[in-house]
Amino acid sequence: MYIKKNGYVAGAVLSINLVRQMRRQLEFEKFAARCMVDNDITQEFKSKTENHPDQIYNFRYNHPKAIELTAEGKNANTTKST
Amino acid sequence: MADNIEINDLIGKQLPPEILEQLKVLGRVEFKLKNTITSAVSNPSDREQDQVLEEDSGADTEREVDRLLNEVGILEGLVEDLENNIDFLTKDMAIPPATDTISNAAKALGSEDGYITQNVMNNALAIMDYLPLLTMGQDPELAALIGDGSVDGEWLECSQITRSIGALFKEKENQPKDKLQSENTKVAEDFEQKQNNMQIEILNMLFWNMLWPTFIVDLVILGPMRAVVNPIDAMILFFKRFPFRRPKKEQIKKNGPLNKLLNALRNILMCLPLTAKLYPRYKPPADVVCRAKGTCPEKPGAGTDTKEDDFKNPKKDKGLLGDLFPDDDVPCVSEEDIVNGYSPKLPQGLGVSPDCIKSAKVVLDAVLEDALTPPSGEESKLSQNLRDQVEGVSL
Repeated sequence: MYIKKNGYVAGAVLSINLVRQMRRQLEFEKFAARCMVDNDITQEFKSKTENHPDQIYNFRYNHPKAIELTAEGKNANTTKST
Repeated sequence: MADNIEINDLIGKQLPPEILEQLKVLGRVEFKLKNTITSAVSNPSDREQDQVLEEDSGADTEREVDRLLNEVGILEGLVEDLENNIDFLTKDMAIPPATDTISNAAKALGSEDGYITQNVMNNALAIMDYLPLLTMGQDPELAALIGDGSVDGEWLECSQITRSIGALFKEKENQPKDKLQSENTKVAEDFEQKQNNMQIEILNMLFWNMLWPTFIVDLVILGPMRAVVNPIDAMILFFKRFPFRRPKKEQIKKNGPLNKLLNALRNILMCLPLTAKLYPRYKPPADVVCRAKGTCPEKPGAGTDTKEDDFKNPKKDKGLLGDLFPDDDVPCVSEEDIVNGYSPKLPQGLGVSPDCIKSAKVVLDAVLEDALTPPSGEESKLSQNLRDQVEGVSL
């Protein structure tokens, strides 16, 4: 599949769909984790999504509902720890 | 062997390590046998161990959550590597357009010369992602996660939909909701409200037009009384022959001046502020008809040099009723528009134009076709091999 033609490798183009599906699933998992747990790891998830070239997943983190849920998760963690 | 196993020996105890090893499947969590009620009572010495386990369970949960989150992080690293590889292997992409259609589609997505570059391909992918994501204004994944998939936003042009579309949403989301409403949306909402009022008004008119002729006695005897008690009803009776309907061309030709005069009189009566106070049911058409009366310039296309901006901002020529109503930001609706069916600029909502989607699909199809087609040299070798095989068989 490593055929280079017109400046690109055909195999890379053919695997775009698969990788994008993986990214979509991954962002789903990241967002779910972010809504449930507010810690350093999920904050890093958010910052990585913000810096990712494909910004289609970014606005979820800015959705009011998502912010509310994250705040609830944070409060729940604080209550639990105290 | 079986005779040596005593069930009572196993209660409250751990399984032997060799059996546990056999029970482990793909690194699943190892569950220890806990005390039953009876065994816990019979073995009070184990209570201290249980308390220790309960105290540690909170920390264990946190560790388990962190472990799962780290796994997600590892997966992200893997996906990032794959994405970087794809970007690297396609960065010099320059697929020449096979047809004019492909060339035009590529140009619509940002290509200068019609060649399909990596940037053009990414834009096409972003458009195809954007389309299902915002179908009916809903983000299905967001809805699955938090139960509300609504996404507010405006119509975006084809050139605006790139991989950075999320950044646009971020700006929109942070703005107050009032600012998100476009001018078109306000016009449409305003019209929708007035249209509802108009329907009520038409129903009222139909009701009165049907009621009065039915009761002739009422018409003859109570009519004058009603005219004294409620002059508006009397006026409606008088003008019942001129309802909200479009007159035929013949009627206009025959009774044009008379119709115009009667309609003008009706509008003046309906538009008097006193009328609305005395008879609130007739307030809505006064809103629609009166305020825009005589203020609409000709529509684009119908006139000669009328621009669309002029249509949005009607001239302040209000004719007879100019002094009665203040200057409000109301859509320019004439009676003719109402009769013919007013078609305002409805908000185009979330989504992309069909041309934009078509361009994206044409580009992606072209890329896929090019990727699946072997280079010309390989093609000739392949066909040569096939030809040799055929010749060999025939020989």
